[in-house]
Amino acid sequence: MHIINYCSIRKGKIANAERVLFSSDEYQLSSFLKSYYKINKISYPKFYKMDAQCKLAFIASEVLFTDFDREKYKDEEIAMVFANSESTLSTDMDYWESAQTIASPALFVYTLPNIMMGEIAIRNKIKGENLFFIAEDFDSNLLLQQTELLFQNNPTKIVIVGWVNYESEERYLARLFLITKTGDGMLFNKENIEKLNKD
Amino acid sequence: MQKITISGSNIISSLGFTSEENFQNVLSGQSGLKFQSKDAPQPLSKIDAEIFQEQIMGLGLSKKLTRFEKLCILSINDAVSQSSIDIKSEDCLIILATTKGNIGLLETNNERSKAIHLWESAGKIAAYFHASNKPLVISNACVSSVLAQVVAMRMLKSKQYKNIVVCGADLISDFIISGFQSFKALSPLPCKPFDLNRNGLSLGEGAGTLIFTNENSKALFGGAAVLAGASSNDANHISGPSRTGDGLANAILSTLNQSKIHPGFISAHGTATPYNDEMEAKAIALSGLQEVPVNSLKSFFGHTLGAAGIIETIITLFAMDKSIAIGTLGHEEYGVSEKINLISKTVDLQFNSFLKIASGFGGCNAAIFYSK
Repeated sequence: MHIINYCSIRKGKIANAERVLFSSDEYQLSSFLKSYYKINKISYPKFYKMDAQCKLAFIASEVLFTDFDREKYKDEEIAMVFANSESTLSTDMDYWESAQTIASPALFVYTLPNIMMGEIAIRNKIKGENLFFIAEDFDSNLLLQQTELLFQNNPTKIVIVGWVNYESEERYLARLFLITKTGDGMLFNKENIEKLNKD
Repeated sequence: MQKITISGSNIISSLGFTSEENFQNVLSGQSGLKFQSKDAPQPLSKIDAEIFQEQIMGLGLSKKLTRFEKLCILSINDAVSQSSIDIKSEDCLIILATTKGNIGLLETNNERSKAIHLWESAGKIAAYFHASNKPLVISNACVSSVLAQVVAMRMLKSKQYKNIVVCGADLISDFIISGFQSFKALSPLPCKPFDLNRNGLSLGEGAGTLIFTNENSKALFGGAAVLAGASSNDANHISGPSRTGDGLANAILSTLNQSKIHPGFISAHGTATPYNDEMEAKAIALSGLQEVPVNSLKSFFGHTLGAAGIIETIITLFAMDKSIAIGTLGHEEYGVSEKINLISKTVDLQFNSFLKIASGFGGCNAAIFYSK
C-alpha cells in the first residue's frame, strides 16, 4: 500500500505533507474554508448546503484529488474508509435545537457521519466500498487494517482514508490519505502516517 | 478453507427478548408496530419496558449505564450464553453497529458530553464483559449492521481473531422521530413494503447480536456460514436513493462475485418509502435476481435503523434452517414498477443460501451472503 497524496486541515492551515498550501489568520473554520473555496474558484453550489464537518471533508478531498488521474479508475474501484471521534455531535445539537420549533430536514440529514463520504462520492463519482468508524482518537492501526481488508476485495484499487472531526469553529481536524494498492511512493504504514501527522 | 459460522445469536425487540421468541412471533404473523397512545400520529415498534427492566435487574446492571448500553449488554449476554466462546479472550473482538446510540441524551441536556460519544458507549459495553480488545464502532446510517457483518467476516477470514461478536442496536427517541417526520417519511399506518399504497416507513427499536467464529465449535442454524459481502455508494444524492438501483446492484454483484453461488432467497431492506422500494426492486432486477424469492421484515419490527440489518439476518437464518419463507406482512397489492418475486404470505420453502441487503442515507448500500 502506497500513499499517492495526503492532505491535512487544522488550525487555519491546509497542508500537503510539509508543504503549506493555504493558511489564514482566520482560525474560524467556516470563513477559512469559504475563502479557500473562493480563491481556488471551486464551483460547486452544494458546498453551501453542507454542515461544517462535511465542508471540512469536502475541501480536504478537493485538495487530495488535485493532480490525481481520476479517469484512470472505474467508479467502483475507489473505496473510502473514514473515521472520527465526534460522529456528528455538533450538528446533532443544532438539529435538536431546530426541532424545538420546526425540525429541519436539511440539518437532520447531516446527523449521520457517513454523509461526508456521500458528498465526496457525489462530487467525484465514486461508487466503491464505504465504511465509517467511530474511535476516541485517531487510530492508525484501525485505518491500516481496514484499508488492507478493502484491497482484498477485488474491485478496490484506490482507497481514500480519512479522519475528519469537527468539534467547533476553533477545534477541527481533517487528515485524508489517497492510497493505492500497488505502485510506488511512500509506503502506507504506521511510521509514515505518524510522520505525516506531525505537520 | 475454514468456514465462518454462528455460535450464538440474540434479538431484543417489540417481539421478544431472544432470537427464538422473535422468530416464533414473526412466524405467527405478529407485528410489533403499535399505536402507543390514542392520538399517536404513527405506530412504533417498542421494546416492552417492564420486561426490559426485569432483565436489567436480573443481570444487576449498573444505574450508570444508559438504556442504549443496557440494551446492547442484554443482547450480547444472551448470545454469549448460548456459545462456548470466551468473550474475555484476546482472540475475541466486539463490534458495535449503531446509527445514533445515546442520542436521546440530548433531549434532557442539549450539550456536549462524554457519555453521548459512541466510543464511550462501546467502551462501557466492552468493560462489562471484561473484553481484552478495544471494541470497534461502525456508524454508517441504515447499513451499519450489515456492514459490521461484512467487516467481521473479513477480519475472521484474515485470521485476526477467532471470534467476533457483532451487536447492532438503536433506540427510538424524539430526536429520531422528529427527524423522519421532518422528511415526511413516516407512514401513519403500519408500513406496507413494496405495496401500491405504501406511504412511508414505520420506526422501531431493538438490538441484534451474532457471534461469528472460525473455530470448529457448535454451529447454529444448521451450520450456516457467512460467505461473502460488500458495500457500495450510489454517488447520486445524500438523502435519496439512486433512481436506477445501480449502486445497490454493485454491492450485490460484488458479493455474488465472491460467493460464486446464486442466492436462494433475498431479505430486502424494504422500508416501504416510495423511493426505497422502487430502487431496490430495480437493483434486484439489474442483478439478474428477479426470480429469487424476496421479503421485507419491516412491517414486523419497524425500521430499527442500525439494528435492522442484523435483526433481519437472524430471522432469515432461522427461516432458512426451518425451510420457511416469511411473508411480507401488510403487503396487499404489488406496487413497484420492476417485477420481482415478492413473498407476501409465509410459506414452506426450501432454500440453501440468502442475501441480506440494505441501503441508507449518504447513498450507502451493503450486502451479505449466507449459505448452508
